[in-house]
Amino acid sequence: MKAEDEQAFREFVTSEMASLRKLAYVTCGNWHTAEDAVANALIKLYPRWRKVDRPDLYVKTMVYRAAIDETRRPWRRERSAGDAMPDVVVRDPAGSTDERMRLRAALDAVPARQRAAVVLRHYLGLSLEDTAGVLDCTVGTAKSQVSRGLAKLRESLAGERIDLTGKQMEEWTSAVA
Amino acid sequence: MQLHDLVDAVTGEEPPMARTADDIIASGRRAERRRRAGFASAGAAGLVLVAVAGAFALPT
Repeated sequence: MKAEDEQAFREFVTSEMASLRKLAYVTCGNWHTAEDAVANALIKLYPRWRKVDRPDLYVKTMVYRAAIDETRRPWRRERSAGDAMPDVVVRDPAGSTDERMRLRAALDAVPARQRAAVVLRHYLGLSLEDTAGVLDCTVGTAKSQVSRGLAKLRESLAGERIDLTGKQMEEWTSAVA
Repeated sequence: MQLHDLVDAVTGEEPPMARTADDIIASGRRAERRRRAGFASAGAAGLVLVAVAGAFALPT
């Protein structure tokens, strides 16, 4: 790879790695698995850097697929009991950890594909066409995945007495209705 | 609550990255070398195959 291409790749990695890891984490629910998925996707992108038109979409697709695949691997499902140090109980006066766990549980109630669709569309701000490209489906399917994901997320958050708001959400809901 | 706030809250306590951009680039270089070596081996194997097939096909 030429020096200027490598510099462009380095800048791309530096700017995208954090958001890619968030996408992978929201999809698979484990930081280590998420980081593995992102690193593997970026390593595979390196030799193809000059050949890919939209590296951002290409790598998001690979990260999404890797995160889904990682959750399906049998050894990822296994949980050893007994080799880990016990968690130390620490007081949480602000309740932030408790709230994070409740929000995480609400997000986990949404199927992984729909969760990824919602994050791609409304958190990372991809267009419907790009979301469909990453999910490898038609625009109509992507639209329904986002819509169902939002509905499911709203439902599970309502159980925690949290209302999902936002101008984009309202526009989206009225457009789908 | 907005979706942005929700995702930020859920991913709020993210551990620091174990790999840096330099680690990714070093691994990418190794992957590229392996890929090129694979292509070279496949090409050499193809040439050998053609040579052997040619030797058998030629009338003695």
